Amino acid sequence: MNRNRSFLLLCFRGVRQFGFSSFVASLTIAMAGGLFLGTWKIKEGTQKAFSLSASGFDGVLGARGSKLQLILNAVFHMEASPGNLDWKQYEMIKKTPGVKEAYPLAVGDNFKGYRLVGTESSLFKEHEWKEGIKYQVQSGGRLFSDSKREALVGNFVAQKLGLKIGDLFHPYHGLTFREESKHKEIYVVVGILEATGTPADKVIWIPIKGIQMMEGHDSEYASSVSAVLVKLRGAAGFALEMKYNKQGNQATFAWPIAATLAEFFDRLVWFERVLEWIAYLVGCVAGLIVLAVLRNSMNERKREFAILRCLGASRGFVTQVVLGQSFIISLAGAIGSLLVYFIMNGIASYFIREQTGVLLSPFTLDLAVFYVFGAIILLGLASGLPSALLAYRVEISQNLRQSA
Amino acid sequence: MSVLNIEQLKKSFFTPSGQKLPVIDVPAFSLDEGSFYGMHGGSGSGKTTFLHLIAGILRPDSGLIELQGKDVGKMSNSERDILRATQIGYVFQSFNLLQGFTCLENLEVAMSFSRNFNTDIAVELLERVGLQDRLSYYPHQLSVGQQQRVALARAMVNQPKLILADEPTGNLDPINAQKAVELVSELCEEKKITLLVVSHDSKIIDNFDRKLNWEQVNQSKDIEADL
Repeated sequence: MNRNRSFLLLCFRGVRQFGFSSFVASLTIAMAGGLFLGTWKIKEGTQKAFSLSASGFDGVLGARGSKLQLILNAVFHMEASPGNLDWKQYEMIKKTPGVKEAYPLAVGDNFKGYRLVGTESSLFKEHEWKEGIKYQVQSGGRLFSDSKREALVGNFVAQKLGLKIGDLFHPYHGLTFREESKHKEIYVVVGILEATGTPADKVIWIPIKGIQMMEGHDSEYASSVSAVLVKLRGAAGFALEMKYNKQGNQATFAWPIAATLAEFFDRLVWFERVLEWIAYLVGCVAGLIVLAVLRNSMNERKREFAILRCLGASRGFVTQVVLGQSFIISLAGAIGSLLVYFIMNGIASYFIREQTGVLLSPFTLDLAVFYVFGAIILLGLASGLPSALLAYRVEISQNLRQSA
Repeated sequence: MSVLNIEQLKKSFFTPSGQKLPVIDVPAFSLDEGSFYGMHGGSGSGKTTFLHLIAGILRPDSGLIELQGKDVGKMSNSERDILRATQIGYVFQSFNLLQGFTCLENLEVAMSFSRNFNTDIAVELLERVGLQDRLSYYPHQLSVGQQQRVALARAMVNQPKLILADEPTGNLDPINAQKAVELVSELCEEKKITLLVVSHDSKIIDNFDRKLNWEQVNQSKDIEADL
């Protein structure tokens, strides 16, 4: 056994000797670190994912109302539609100079809780949901025809409902699934979209006329749209905002999408701050627990250190043993905090995907995570310093004599 | 030839009331290389303090402690650590084994502080003290006599020049005490190690040819208890 092995043995035996307290200390560190990383990275990841999930659109035109509601409804397929727009509004904005692309959307039906969204097939032929990337249909499938009762199923929905090409289904009225509100029409699945990790994955796309003309819908539906997704060129957004939001009173132009979403996330800052402070507090408690564990162990280990010193161990060696012990506790805590973080992220990602279709990357490790990992270990080492100092000062003669 | 030579060694402590209390005053003391000494002295007479001074655990107020030609009192902290790891083996009354470590690990940890790590030597020593089937036992799994044998083996493991045994039989029954003294003497003879056993028990001291009386060695008469 060389000195290094002897050192490791002493560190690990110290942790084992006070196993339960060490475990509680590591667990508290794990909870604090995990909570801190979780709140921070989930917020960051969600914000980033939502911003990227604008599916390549710059703005949304919809009924007069909240911009956020409009974006959530038209882009993220959440919440209720604030109302309908006349078809002419769609035609008008489409012809507006500066508008590169415009696609009408109509909502109001679902299949087993997943929204049916009516649009034009050109959305899938022409639009780049990510720079340079258009929607892809899985092999064997195709886009729906704008004049037939055909459906293109989002990847997530296909997985969840097990829908395959050739499957037939009845739409249900409303945005929530109710058995009794089944429409008579039968749609056939003609294609399944390749996964995009965007809200497009969690809806069933059908021709817009399908929603407009669905049996039982109000006749006004036939000539209206729920929203228009718009892609701009140049600085047309300012002019459109002026036209619709400031001068007009018929419609709302939610633009730019990213800024509106950022405003939404800013509203949640207080909640994030609360969680952050909870994490700091738990972190302090964790540090104090490490301190208490090592301090308590020191009372019992003074004799052991005196024996070691008598056998020839230097003051530095016994100091390092205590720091090693706190390093092991904090390393276990830091690894635990990654696990807590992954679990939190995994659960959050699952629910966000379920609700929005937005795909977070729950298991990514970036530099910031490693910084936090290092900070946790430093915190643990700092908590071990007072006890390490005690070990350094252990009086051999006194402690050997006390034990005699 | 002397392995240890002490001249004008003095050590005092301060009482809680601030009074200076001389504990050690040894004008001259020496140990011949390879010899065995039994030093008798009453409890609380400063014998342990004397051993701690020799081992470099305590620093003297004044005087010379020359071990193998080097003045222990003038050594730096790290030099004294090395001295304890390589030149001195210490045997305690309460054995002072590391409780969370097996017999073999107790010896290995001690070896790790010297520059001669060799598990074979540790195993050989434990076999020599009759613990060949207890290598992986923890101290609490051993009898008191067996624990003392581990402590003896540990003191020998770095092949020191001098073994300091402080009341090594204090926790043993008379039969085990006698066995322990015989064993430590045998081992020291085999390894050519100088042995100094201090004890308040005159029967133990009778085992040694070279007998010393602590009251004659130490000129300080003021102390009543070990400090």
